[in-house]
This record gives sequence, structure tokens and C-alpha cells, in this order.
Amino acid sequence: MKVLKWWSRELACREAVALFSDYIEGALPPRRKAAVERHLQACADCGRYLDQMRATIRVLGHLEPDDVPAPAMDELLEVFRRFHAEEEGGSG
Amino acid sequence: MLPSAVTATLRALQPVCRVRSQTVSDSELVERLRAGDEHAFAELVSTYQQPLVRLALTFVPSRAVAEEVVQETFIGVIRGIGRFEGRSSLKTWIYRILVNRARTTGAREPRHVSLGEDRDGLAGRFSADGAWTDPPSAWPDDVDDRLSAPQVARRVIVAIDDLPGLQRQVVTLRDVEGLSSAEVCELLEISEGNQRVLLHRARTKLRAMFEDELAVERRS
Ligand SMILES: [Zn+2]
Repeated sequence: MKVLKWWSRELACREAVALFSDYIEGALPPRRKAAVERHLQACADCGRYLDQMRATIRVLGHLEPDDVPAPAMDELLEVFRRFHAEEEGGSG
Repeated sequence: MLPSAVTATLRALQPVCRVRSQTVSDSELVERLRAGDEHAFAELVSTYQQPLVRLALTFVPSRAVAEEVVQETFIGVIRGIGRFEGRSSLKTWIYRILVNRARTTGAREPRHVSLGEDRDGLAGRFSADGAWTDPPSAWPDDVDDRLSAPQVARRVIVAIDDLPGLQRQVVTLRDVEGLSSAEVCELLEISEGNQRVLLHRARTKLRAMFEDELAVERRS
């Protein structure tokens, strides 16, 4: 009973914030999820924090890699060609 | 020989054909690779080169070593594609070759999931009973554009690089490369629970880093 109570009681901001990544993941058990949503309804600060975490994930998803030098494409194509020539020739 | 113009075109197309928005189906690409289709292979290299370098860098200490690991990975693909059974996606299969190569090449740091205290950039922002004392201030509406600006993006890459090993790998694979949590757990051989803890920590630190970026912008 004590565990159940802990599971469903009201969350402090510090605790809510610690659950947001799992909340976004859809990985919280139903009572925890409900507790997070109750907290969010009452707390604009945590709502803002959650939005910011979502924005962070969005920006990471659009991160363009810094310049990678031209791939060693020619060398790889040579390996590819040789591999298939050997396969067709049936010898190594 | 593939004309260099084709290679250049493929390279120019790279931003639009990022791995997660790939349109050619795995099975079609695999068939063409097995048949020795050079264009298909060049396309594969162009599509995966950058994500693989980025992933390799989360395992090995230098760019040079990472590029070597990626080169070995592509050679592994050439030799192994005949045995690819399609039980996982082609992407996961290629990433697994890379992770295996990277692990044997010399890791950056010991590999363990620390579940102890971890700095999250939120120290001192809550009262003893856990309420905000220094709540987050609103971010501007154009936050996505601001944080995606090239000079910020470079600092984000550095910030990801500064994360502890597994946090760096998990956030790179999940949030930057867009893999599912199941794929990431399988690739890194960690439990779902640990994956979530690591992801939470990495996201928390990166949000704090973005907050700092925006605060600096506001002051200047
Ligand atoms: Zn709150």
C-alpha cells in the first residue's frame, strides 16, 4: 500500500523533471504517467521545461554533421569491384 | 569506374537522403549490392558515411581512427552482404558491424553504466522540498532555428562529445540518428532501463547547454 501511495502521490517539480525523458519515451507506468500529467496541469514552469526538452530532442534530430572529408570512395569502389570480379571469376 | 560527377552529385544530395528518410527499400538495395551494382554501393557509402563517422567517434579517440573504422565497416559490408538475412534493418546491420569494429579498435574509456550521482546542470535550482527556485525562462519562438545555426551546432557536437561514453552513444543513436530504443539496446548491449537512464541524463545536460546558449545570446 505504501508503494502504491508513493507511486501515485503528487510530484515535486524536481521529481517531475526527472521523469520527463521517460514520459516523452512513453515508458512510464500508468500511475506515474498520470502523476506527471497532473503536475503539468498545475505547473507552468515544468510545462516550459518539458517543451524545452522536446525542443532539445528536435534540434538534435536535425543536427547536420560537420564536414566530413570526401569519403575514400575510390578506394572502396575498387574493393567492391575486385570482390565482385573475384566472385564472378570463381577464384580468389 | 563511376564518373566523379556522379560521386559529386551523390555527395550534394546527402543532406536530403539522410539515413532515416531513406526511400530505397532495404531489399532492393541489398539485391543491387549483391549483383555488384557500383552505383548502389556508392549511394550506400554516401548515405552512411557521415552517420557512421559520427557513431565511430563516440567509441574511438580520434577522427583518423574513426574514418579507418568506417572504411573497415564498408569493407565488411562488401564481404558480408551475401550473408545478410534481413532479420534486422540494413541500417542496424551496418551499425552493428561498425560497433564491433570500433570496440576491437581501442575504446576511449572503460565501458560501464554508472547509475550514481551525475551532474545534470540543475544543481541549485530547486528548494529543499523540490520546487523550482530558479525556474526555466521561456525560450524564443524561433528556438529551433537559433539552435540549429552552424556555430551553435558545432558547440552541440562538442557538448555531445564531452558526455560520458554510453550517454554519448545512446543520445547519438537515439536523438541524432533516430534509431529506436530496441535497436540501441541491441547495438550497445544494454537493458531498456539503463538506456532510458542514460538518455535522460544526456538530454538533461544538452537542454541545460541549450539554455546557456540562449542566455548568452540574450545578453549579447
Ligand atoms: Zn513543477
